[in-house]
Amino acid sequence: METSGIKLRHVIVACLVSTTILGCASLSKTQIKSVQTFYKLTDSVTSSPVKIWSLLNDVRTDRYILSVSTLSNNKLLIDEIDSIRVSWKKNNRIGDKLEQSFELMNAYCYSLTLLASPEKWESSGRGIKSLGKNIDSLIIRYNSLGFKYELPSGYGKSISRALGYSAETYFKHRQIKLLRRFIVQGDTVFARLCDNLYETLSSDSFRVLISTERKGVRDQFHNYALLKQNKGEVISFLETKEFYRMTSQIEEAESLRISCCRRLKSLKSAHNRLSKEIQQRKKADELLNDIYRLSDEISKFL
Amino acid sequence: MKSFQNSSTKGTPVEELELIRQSKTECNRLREASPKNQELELLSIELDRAERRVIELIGEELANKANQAGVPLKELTIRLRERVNSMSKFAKLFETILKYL
Repeated sequence: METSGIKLRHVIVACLVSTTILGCASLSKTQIKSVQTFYKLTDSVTSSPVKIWSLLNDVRTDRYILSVSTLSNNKLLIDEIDSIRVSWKKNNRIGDKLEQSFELMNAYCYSLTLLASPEKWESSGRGIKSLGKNIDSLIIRYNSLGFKYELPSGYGKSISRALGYSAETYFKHRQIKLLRRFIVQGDTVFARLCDNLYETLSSDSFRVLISTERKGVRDQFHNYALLKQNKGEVISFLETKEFYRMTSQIEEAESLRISCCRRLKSLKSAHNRLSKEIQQRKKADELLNDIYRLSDEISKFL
Repeated sequence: MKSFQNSSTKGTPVEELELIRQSKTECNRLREASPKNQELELLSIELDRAERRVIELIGEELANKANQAGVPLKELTIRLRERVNSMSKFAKLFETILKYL
């Protein structure tokens, strides 16, 4: 009985050592942190383009309302308000369409974070480790039944710990393998998407849309003020405040566009950096931590 | 107005937008001189509508351009999600099998 116990112990230790060698190819803490930081960076970029588009759309609507308020024909005014509403809705749909690529970028990064999450795969190992007590009590009950061959008792906990550790290491190994594959594959695709979105936001067309609003609001307000002046009226405080709000929104859209372009550039290089980092092996201190952890696990069997 | 409509169809949307803007400035100047002129009011509305149409066109072009490079990343994300899901399922299955051993 004692011999079979020693043999079993050797098998468990051998199993642990082999899985640790496999585990040397798992994610380092720096790599996990890199993926998480990358996701945070993406999250900050993805909400901006829709906000820019929505700011411009709202200002444009206000500008057209300002324009129709100068009309003397009521029927024309009512028809025009309907037309403005239709256009606002159409532009909202365009905003949603513009958002798609950024949402996609976010979904990709979120999936990477999910895969890189250490808790997700460690939990399966932890669950298995706690099963030992149940196995031990089962063996004790078996032995108490008085069969000819008794089972070695007290090893259930060790077996489950070894299985748990092996499962954890196996999942970590799969995790890094998949992450490496997807991040390396995704690097070119992601860079192309970043370039494409950068080109869209910094294109002449986008700049023209912003400058059209900037000039349009000023011209329209000027025209509105003059028409009022001709009637012997003056611009009220609230109307002036509205003008201020509209011009501020345009400036906000422009500064958001500039910062979004800048962040897209850094996002592209962040993914490239991540791709290089993920291909690197663990640093010496992190390998040492793994070895300490292994010896700690082994000491529980000896 | 007819001359504007004819000339506007020749250029790119951006050029067309610039032309509309210039026409609007001119129209507003004329309206300041004769505020109750109905034809000028109509022209102003037509120009607003033309401007909205061109802006929508530019917006559509921009959105399409932005989505062009999204397809390969979408495919990659789908594959990545599938892998993450299958790994999760496998981990759960492994745990369940061991629980029943």
